[in-house]
Amino acid sequence: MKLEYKSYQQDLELGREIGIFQYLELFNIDVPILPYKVLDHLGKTHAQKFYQELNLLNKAIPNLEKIMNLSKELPNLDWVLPMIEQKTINQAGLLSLYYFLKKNIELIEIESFSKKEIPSLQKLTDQIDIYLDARKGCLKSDTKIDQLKKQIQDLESSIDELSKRYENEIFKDTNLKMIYPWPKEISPDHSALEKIKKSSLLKTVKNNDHQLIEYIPPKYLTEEIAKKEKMEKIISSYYQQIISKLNMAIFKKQKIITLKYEERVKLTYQYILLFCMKKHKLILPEISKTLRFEVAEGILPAIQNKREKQYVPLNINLNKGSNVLFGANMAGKTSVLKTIYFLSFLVSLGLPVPAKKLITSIPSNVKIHLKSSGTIASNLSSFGEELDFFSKDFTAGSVVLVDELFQTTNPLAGKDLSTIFLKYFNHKNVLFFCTTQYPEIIKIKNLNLYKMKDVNQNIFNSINTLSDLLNNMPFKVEKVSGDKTYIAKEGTMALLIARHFIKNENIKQSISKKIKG
Amino acid sequence: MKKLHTICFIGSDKNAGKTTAFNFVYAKLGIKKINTVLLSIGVNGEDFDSLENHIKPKIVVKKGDYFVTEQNRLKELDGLYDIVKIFSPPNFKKIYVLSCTHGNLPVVLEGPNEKEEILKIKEFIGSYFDQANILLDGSIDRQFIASEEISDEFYFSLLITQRLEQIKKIKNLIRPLTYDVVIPQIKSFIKKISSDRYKTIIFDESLNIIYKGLEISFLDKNLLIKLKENAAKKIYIYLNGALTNHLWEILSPFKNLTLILDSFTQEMISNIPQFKDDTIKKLLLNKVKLSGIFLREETSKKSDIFLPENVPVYNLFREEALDEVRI
Repeated sequence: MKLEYKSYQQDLELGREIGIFQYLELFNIDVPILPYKVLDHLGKTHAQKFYQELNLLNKAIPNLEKIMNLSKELPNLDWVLPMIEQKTINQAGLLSLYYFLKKNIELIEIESFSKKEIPSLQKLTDQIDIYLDARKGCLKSDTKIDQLKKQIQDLESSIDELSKRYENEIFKDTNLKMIYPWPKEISPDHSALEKIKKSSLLKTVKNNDHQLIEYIPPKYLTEEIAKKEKMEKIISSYYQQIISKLNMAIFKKQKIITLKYEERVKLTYQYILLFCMKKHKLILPEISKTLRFEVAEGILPAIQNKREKQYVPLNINLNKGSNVLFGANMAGKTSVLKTIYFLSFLVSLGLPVPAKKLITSIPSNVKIHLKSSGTIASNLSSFGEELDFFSKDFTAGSVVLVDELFQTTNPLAGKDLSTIFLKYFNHKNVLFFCTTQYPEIIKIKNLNLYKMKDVNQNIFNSINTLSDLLNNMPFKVEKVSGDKTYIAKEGTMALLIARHFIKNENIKQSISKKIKG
Repeated sequence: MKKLHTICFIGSDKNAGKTTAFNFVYAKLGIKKINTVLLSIGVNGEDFDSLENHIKPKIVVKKGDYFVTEQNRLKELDGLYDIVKIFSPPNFKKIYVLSCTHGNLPVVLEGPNEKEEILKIKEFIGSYFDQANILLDGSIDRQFIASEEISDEFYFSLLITQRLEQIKKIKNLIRPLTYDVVIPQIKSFIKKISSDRYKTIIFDESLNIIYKGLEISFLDKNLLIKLKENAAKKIYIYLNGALTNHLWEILSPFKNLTLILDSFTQEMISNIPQFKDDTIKKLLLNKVKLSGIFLREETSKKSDIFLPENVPVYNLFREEALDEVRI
């Protein structure tokens, strides 16, 4: 199964950046019944039901591995179902249907939650069994047909002998060695041409600059061939009658077959999700009816793969309204946003997620704006791009994530715009979460405030490079109150980092003076 | 001995007599007691040739032999064959059936057009039989048929006419057979670094990669830049796409260049005045085992086509009939 999602749901570049495509590959399992699935936003009601079903299934299935192995043997019937509807099922379609029914019954027996339909499916399988030798993959025949087949074989030997007789007669008549029914051409000056023209066994037709010789097979040969063809017709008609009978019987069960197939496809998809969830240590989110996002040890695999052991999973608890994250440069604020976006996007598609625990509402929409310097493609500046992002309406239940809110314009306007937007979203039925460097927004009442945990200041004695600094970053989110002291600390942290890495002594001294205050 | 042996049939043109050649070799093989599987790239064995308005020779699968075809081609034949395997999505675009006939059965063969699908079928055949001969009705416009993974041996059917277009096709098919095959070291190097994505790869004598081009070769501006930059050096260019007039005009001025063709089916050069075969050295990636050439002569006038030496040439339409071959 190859998982894809509809392109309008997400920018391709963003999908690549957060590693959504690699994540979808975790669910790649070769299952003919479900070659691929295009994921769409599930919608609130559907998603709740979907996760609920997955949870129940997860508890009800005793041996998922065995079920997966059997599911892999289910043949794809996408090409057979239209044949059933049009009563045109053939031997290959019949064999596939038979194997599907057999495997489906085997699966139902293991599943134990729905055995009611077994008798009805078994009855159809038994009916097909009368006419189909599934082991050999062929239709059964009766004694009369077997005799006819034997007679045809004898006739073929006889036709072969009679062909040789005909060839000998041609040779005697024209001096031309031919093998019936191979084609033959001769040049117009061929010595045998006159004899051929007089012969009753052959005729010639002019073709380009040569003569094409055509056969006039004798009656003894054509009669034998006709006999063979007649028998072949009887056999063919016998099998066509069987096929027609089976088509009628199967057509009567069309609805139940289609229904059972669709159910099986759906179940197979769910099994794949659960199987891969266990294999890759993922979890199913707990669905909250109110707008929230609480994650314990949430992972963004794209970053985890890069940082390996130094990766710190995300723990955060966000609520309806405006949520704001402060933090020093390089403290991992953008990664937090990307992780939330990644997890929320997966939930909107109904997939298991990489976390220890996730309690979330089903987002009606997940949108993220990451800082950029503008793009040629959009023909907009970074400020223009941000305005464009906000020009779209966010539906109730949306998760909206913005990196460095209004850092794209001058600080005074940026601060004012940030205040206006945060106040607005704080009373909306959306989960708005942004990072910011504007300390003034702390004055807004009832904001949910968070900050990235600071790096230990003592580490400056032991680090040389920016990479060392990154390796010592705690990458943890802390909930904070409206107290302003941590904002002052954060400014100091930026100065400390700058002082440590800038080589120019004059500048270093100036920064030191500023820190002292 | 290799478990599978694939004999591939290629026609220089429509009505070159490929099916007749196919039937001839199939009839000769019938004497051997090895499993035989008939497979086609695209469609072959159709009764009627709409192009020339006449009945074409049929392919009759002999009793107990195997064939692969698209399931719709079997509609009227139910009951007359056993199904060994159904090849279906996701690995296949259509539904193909590997079957064994109960008696002699005229069948329209329709197989996949994609290399990966043919390989999947071969993989199954290899796992199912201890030993088997595969007769592959090939298609000249599918470059992958020349790959060692696909074909072991070839038969060509050539339509000899006075029409220039047909003569050009034959020359393009025959000419590469005279090229030497790359040394094993270079061959394994190319196999390691190449993929279907790359249309051209330039490398030097020490096997350092100079350039890997993703664009269609004659549209690739960087290709020419790299060739100019390295014009003084002895370099190789591996070509995974058609060698057209235009591309030849780009490549031929670089005298230090050695051109390596992935397949003998790649040359598509017209008779252009500036085309001189020996301007740059050309090599083939894979050795071509050509076991026979079948001629279909529309004209008895002599042409300037030089057929390779030491390869049997047949004209089944004109020669004395061969006793051991019956269809």
